[in-house]
Amino acid sequence: MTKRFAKRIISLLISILLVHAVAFLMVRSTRGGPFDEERALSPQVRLALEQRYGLDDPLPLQYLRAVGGLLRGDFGPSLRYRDTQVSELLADALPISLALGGGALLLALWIGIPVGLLAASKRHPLGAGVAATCSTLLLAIPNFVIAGVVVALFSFELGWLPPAGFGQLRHLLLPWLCLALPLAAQIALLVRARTTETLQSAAVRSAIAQGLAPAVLLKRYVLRPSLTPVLAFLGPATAALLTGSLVIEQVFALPGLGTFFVQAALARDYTLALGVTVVYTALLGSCTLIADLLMAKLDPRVEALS
Amino acid sequence: MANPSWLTLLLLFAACSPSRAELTIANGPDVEVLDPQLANTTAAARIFQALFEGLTRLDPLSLEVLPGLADEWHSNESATQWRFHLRDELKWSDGTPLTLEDVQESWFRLAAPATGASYADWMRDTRIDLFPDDGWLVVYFPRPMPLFDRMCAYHALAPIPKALRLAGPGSLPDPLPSSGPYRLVERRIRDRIRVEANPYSWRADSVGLQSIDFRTIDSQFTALNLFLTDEVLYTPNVPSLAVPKLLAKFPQIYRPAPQFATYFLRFNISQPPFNNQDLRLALSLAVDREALAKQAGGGRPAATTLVPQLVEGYQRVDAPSFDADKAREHLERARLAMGGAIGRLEYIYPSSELNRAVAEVLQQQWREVLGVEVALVNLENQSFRPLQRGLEYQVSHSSWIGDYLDPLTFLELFHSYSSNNRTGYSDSSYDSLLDEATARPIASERFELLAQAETMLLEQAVVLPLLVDISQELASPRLHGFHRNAAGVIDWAALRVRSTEEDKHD
Repeated sequence: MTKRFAKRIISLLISILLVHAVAFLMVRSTRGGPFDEERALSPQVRLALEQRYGLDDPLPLQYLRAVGGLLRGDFGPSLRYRDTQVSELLADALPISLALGGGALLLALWIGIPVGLLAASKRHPLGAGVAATCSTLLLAIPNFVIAGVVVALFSFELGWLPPAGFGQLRHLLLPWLCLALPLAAQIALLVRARTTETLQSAAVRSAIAQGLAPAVLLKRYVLRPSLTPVLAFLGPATAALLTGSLVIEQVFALPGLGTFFVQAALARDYTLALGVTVVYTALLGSCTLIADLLMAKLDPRVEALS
Repeated sequence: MANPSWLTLLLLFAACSPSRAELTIANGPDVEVLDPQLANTTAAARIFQALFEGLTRLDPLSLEVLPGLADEWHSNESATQWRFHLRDELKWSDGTPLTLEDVQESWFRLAAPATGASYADWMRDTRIDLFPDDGWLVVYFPRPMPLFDRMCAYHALAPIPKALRLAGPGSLPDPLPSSGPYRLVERRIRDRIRVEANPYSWRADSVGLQSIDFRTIDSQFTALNLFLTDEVLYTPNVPSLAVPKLLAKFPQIYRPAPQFATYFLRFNISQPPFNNQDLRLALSLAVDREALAKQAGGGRPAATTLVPQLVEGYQRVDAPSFDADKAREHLERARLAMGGAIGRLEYIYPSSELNRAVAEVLQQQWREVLGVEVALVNLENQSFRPLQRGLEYQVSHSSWIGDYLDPLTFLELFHSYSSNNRTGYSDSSYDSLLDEATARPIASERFELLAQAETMLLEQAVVLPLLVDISQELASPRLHGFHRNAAGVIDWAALRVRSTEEDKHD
């Protein structure tokens, strides 16, 4: 187990290095540079700036310097936020992205699992139908549309929550909801599919025949096997949640990582773009890793197979 | 699994629940550098007007030059020499004295290439003498600078503190001493900049609001939502989609007014096909600006001049107006000169809702009037600029915001030596008109020469003015002392906020 874990960590580190190299090549081969502003810089000023940031050195040397920085965890000063270090920008934005993604994930689980169980239940056919339909519908609606609807409802109609902003818990409630709903729908559908299957399994049927209390039955025989596919799905889903919150960050004016990711690339802020890419790669890798570990704990067959 | 994440969340919110500022405004995109010599966006200008005062400043009502850190100034007749007298006992917001050396060193830093300032040219090759005993400073220019007192109101020329002058890349002094009516309390990137009244400002007594939050809001829709729910009392612009409704529902609050900014086309005249003047004229005469403004302008009126008509005493110079027959005549002539075929034409523009709408209307008008098919190429900003600058285009979108209220700020773009020319236009008689105009201290004579230059530019169809840019500010009626003007000047010290209760009694 420990050996396997160590192997996974090493392969994650290698992926980070590879992604960093590819990202470096990509960001440096695009047209235009960080100092192409609407009001042109005079040639001397431009040259001085490029010297200052080492952009006039040969590309291989710049790459080596970037790798050196990566190993030290120092990405250098941002080229657009010229008075700030990339690591400071990341350190400020990462907790916000984590809070946004983490909260949405918990909310999605709280909504998704019960709804999925309800949708699989044969005792409440009406509830099951409604739950399944709502989940399928929600899955099809992009989250910026959901954002428009919840802002119209909770900020304008009811006046309960601010339409955007950051700083207090109430500012995060709507973004959580918008990010969680599509995810909850996916979870619900997964849970429903597996639960329907589990309910028909020999183990459950014999447990019912033994007259087991419904609560025990649900907890021991239904829930546990039904959650394995959810866990397998949660690794990539968490990563997608953390990295894909760009639209929600924009709509609700939240200073998370997503906006940096896109804006750094557009503004040719090479150092920031590389920094965000590395952080995202690390997040993605560790989410999958954690999900795999949890899955192995929940279902020993997973480890036996791998 | 659940417990640690909740703990993180709680810690996060315990760490950052700021009290509300007396005034919160939506300030548009993030201000990337808190250095008045380096940042030159309109969002940055709003913040610097609160933090850094120039030797002069502009009256938000009349845009006249008012005393700032200097209480007296004058120039010699040829405007090559300017003398400023600093107010007595000026202080930075940390209580240390603001001296003549601060001004001198700031201007030297602006001019130094290593600083990386886009306004470095303004102070290029200047000499500065100080007379500390009586508080005077004399700056000598190798060329006439008739508008230097007006330029001093712009943040690039405001004195900056020693700590900022010495700061290396990737660092910002903390605290950041400032000279304006406000000082920096907190900067949270992509979130907000909080300022508070500066007790050391020379006009501290007249400052109304104790604290202001400048919120970073990228999305205009989000800013509008915040404004409509009273979370912010000011937003610099609104989404085009919302314009008709705002005009109908909030005529008192939404009052778009012309800005000192023009939306126009550049032709690349350095190479075929647009080195042919007839072809440029054909495309220019085929554009019906009124229709364009109506269909795609998002509230912006048609522009017939390159220099917006906001400079008192400057005679307007109209570009050729829509004339389908004449356009076709010029096209025929161009076709003959080019041996019968014009070849593929291409129009490049940086992605935006407005730019795309304008490009599509232009394409349609050229097709209908001339039967010419112009391909549209949509690029992101950082790809667009090097193409335009490197003259690797045929026709391109352009826009320009004047730096100071004078025709020169538009016309000097097309001087042979200007790094913002981007058309390949190089005409010695145009250059000498500008050079001569700068040397004339009397406004009417300068304007006369500048108008001649603008005529040349438009008659040769080097550029084609399309739309006048408008201010799209939304300011709450609760915000007192706010004045709309063509230059985006806001005197933050003069603002007051009335409570909702007071507002209801009206």
